[in-house]
Amino acid sequence: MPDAAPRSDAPPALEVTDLRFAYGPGAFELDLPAWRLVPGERAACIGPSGCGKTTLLDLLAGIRLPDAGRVAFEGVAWSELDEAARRRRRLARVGFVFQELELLEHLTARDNALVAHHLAPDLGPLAAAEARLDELARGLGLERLLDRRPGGLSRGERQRVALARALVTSPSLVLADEPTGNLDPRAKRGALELLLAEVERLGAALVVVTHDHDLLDAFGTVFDLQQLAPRPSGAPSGTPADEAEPPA
Amino acid sequence: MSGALRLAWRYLAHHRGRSLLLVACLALALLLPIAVQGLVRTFATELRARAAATPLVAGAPGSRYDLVLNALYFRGRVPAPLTVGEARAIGADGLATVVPVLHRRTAGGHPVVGTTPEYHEQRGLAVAQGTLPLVLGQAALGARTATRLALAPGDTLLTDQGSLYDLAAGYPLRLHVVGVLGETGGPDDDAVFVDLKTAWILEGLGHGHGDAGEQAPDRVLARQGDEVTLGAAVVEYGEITPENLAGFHFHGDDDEHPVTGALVFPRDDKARTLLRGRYRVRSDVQLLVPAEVVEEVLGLVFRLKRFFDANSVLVGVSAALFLTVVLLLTVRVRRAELETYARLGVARAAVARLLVVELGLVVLAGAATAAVLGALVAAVLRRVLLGT
Repeated sequence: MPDAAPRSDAPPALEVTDLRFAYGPGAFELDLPAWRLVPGERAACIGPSGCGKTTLLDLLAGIRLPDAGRVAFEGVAWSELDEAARRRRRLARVGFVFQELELLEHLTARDNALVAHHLAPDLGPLAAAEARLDELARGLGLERLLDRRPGGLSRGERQRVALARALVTSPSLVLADEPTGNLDPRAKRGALELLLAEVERLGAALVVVTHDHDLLDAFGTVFDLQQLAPRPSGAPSGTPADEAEPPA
Repeated sequence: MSGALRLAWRYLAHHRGRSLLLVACLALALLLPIAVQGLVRTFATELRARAAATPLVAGAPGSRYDLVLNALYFRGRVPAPLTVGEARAIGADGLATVVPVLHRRTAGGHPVVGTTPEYHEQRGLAVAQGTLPLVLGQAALGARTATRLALAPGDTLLTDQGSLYDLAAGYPLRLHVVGVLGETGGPDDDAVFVDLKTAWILEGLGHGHGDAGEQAPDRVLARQGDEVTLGAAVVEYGEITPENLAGFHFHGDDDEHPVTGALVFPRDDKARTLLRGRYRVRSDVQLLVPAEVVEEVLGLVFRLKRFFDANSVLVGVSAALFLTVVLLLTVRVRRAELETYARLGVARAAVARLLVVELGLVVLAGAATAAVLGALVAAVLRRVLLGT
């Protein structure tokens, strides 16, 4: 499944320039000279555990700011915005599936998925968001699970709720940290297809961190963080991405 | 339901044990101040309303408070007696309607108030069942008295035995309930109303017994012609019935019989001023304005209440500190959840609002619980302290 219609001539959804980030002296360091993602483009980020994939997603979402360089989302660098503006922009325009899912235990699946709408009424009418959630829930097989709390759901079901939460705001950028990591092969393919279909419908850019190399053919760009060299999907063997280690 | 309210409710419901504990802590902290406030407010309102409905009260020289509390509220210590003649003299020249009141005894724990029919007219008391007392030995009950003692017209009620050492007092008398008054919300609801003469019988100033000429020799102290002097061994009637009514009589001059106070309803403001001026210089009778005396009593109560108010402030500060600690601990315990909100992009203000709404719900529930319990406690205290 290659990208449906990435528009390479369009203004970039994401543009990374001379990115540098470290957690402290002597600790892990991330160094990415340049990278560009256009609306509708799908990129997979691979690499061994601990190489900085999750950190990169945080930087792309403006959750963290680089030590040096620039990460621009839809033409505006996250570092040019204050904390409140970054949060506002992220909530409205970025859908994020976290590695640990981060569902709130006291809320039902429905309230978890709609948490942004509950806390930021300016995102739009709740009724419209609920209708969209119902539609997503049908696709994800969650219709009968929406009134359950995370404690009453399997890991796979929780993962689908997290997916619904990321997509319900109709974001222009979707970041997913191993969104199919705990699903069985069939559910994995189904969830990925729904994610890709939704992203295509929205015309959104997608960056997925994954250890599952079976899914890489669905992405236009595969990015091996260990090699720090984005390459087109299906590039000849022997490129750094092929040498990526399997999941730890 | 707004989004923040919905999420806050979900959190509190999910952690219901913790939430209920917080609500209970707050409710207990607020309970006493609310109960005291409620009690004092009700107390003041009732006292003032009753005082405002009684322009003047007359009594023998002595404690102003005892006189007003006894004559208006049928509570407190019994004031020194005034003769009914002195009381009636206040209204002799038509300046006022005088209603004598004698309250010393109780029946079933409720004050027995001896008075005249004018009392019911002046107080606007309506009879809900039966009639007002018309003859000796009859009683009309206040609404609460009737309910508490489960009595209705046709029943009887025995007056309580007074002090064993009060040798002058009469024996307990079986009263015939002939009426129940409508509820007023005031002290009249808790009273047992009898005719003034019945009250004198309770005082031992009148009594009934069989024909003196037919008494056994051991009950007769002296006989001289038609005059018979009976001894203390003579058996007095403990109940007034149509058959023995004629055997009841009073010794001494009626005007010399006592009352514990008299309600004075002046004809108009001028009469009121005249009466006050007239009795200001009298040393044998005091004529008081109940509203003034009640304000003095309330002044003492409010002074005492200031201590409670100071305590309330301390409790309030302590509750606020407690809530602050809870909030700080909440932030620590819920760090992961708050971080998730941040990573999703929820504004700090929205997260703060969510926490405030949660806290607000807890405070609201605590205050509501305290208000309900406070009202209950105030009602119990009111019943215990005021007997209403």
